[in-house]
Amino acid sequence: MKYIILFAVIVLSSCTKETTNSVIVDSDRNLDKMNAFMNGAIEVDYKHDFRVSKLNNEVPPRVSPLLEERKLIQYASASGDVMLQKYTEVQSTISEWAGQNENDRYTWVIQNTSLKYLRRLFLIENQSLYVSEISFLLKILVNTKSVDLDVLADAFQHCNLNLSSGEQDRYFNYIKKLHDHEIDFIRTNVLKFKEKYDDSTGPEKMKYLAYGKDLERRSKACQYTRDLLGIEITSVD
Amino acid sequence: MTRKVILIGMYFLFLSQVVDPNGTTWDFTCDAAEPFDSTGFATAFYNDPDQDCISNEFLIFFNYADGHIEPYTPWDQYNNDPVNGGFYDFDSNFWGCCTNSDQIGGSGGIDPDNTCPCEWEYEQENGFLLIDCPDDC
Repeated sequence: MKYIILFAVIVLSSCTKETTNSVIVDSDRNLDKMNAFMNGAIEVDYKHDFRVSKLNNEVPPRVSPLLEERKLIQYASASGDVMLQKYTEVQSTISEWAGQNENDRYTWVIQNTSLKYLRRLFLIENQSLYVSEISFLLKILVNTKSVDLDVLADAFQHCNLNLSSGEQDRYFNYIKKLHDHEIDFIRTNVLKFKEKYDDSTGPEKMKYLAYGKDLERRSKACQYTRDLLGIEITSVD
Repeated sequence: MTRKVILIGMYFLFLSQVVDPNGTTWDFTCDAAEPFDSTGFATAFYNDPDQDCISNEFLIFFNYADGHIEPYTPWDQYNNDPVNGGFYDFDSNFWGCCTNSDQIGGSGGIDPDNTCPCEWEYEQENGFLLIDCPDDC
């Protein structure tokens, strides 16, 4: 009997230790994310820098996100299992809002959610299993004039054989046009930002470094897209 | 007539501003694009006169799932790390407040602890930019 009790104690103490370790890991991850939020800036790889389109030449509508919008944002930021579990609901909601989006009211949440579902889930899992999901989200992003070049390029690469020739042409031309626009923006601003970075000090210098890092990510996304889709770059005038 | 124009202009200017829960008026408000922990949300009120989405005039409310709210000010930002000078990037990856592909400013991208000079390497022909910031000075 005493050996049974001893065995039970050993097993239970092992379980407790694992639970404690799991809590510590989650707390550390939350603390890192809080620190990143507090700092307001974090080094982000261009593939995880989710860019959302400008809305009607103005800043986003000054309305509080609906509870439904916040739910979608939470799902898109959750673990892979939760993301997959919630996808039917996400797809249905995105479809509904895409049909009511004349004034770009839902563009922010539609693009935010779609980009994250592609980058974090469907483009890293078995893509042949999720071709229709990738096609659906790519269509939504192009229709809402997405500006996240690398996600668009990856999604197109993974599903273009399953698209009609009309869709292939439309999506490829959209991605190429976006690429060219990004290159123009980089060429127009890089030397200006570098000069201001060189000439300033302190927080002002850090600000222009942030501008430069943004251009750096965009140039990497452009290079990645050219390599992936065989797009040619326009020459310098 | 001039007075009417001014009054109408002031009306629309006032209408375009937002008021935080404390009653303070701001130019912009924005909700974070991601939860800041597993379920909490952040809401920012800020001014941005040069429209670069980086500001040191702001008030952020961190809304926790249990209902309590913590404010965060430029002084908090400065005390966290004086290098940032109290500036906060509202186009960073967690916020995305400026939603404009032509928007200058960062979508994240700087290490606020890094005060060392960075080298900018630019290839004009292919529009490729690399900024190399050393780990140590």
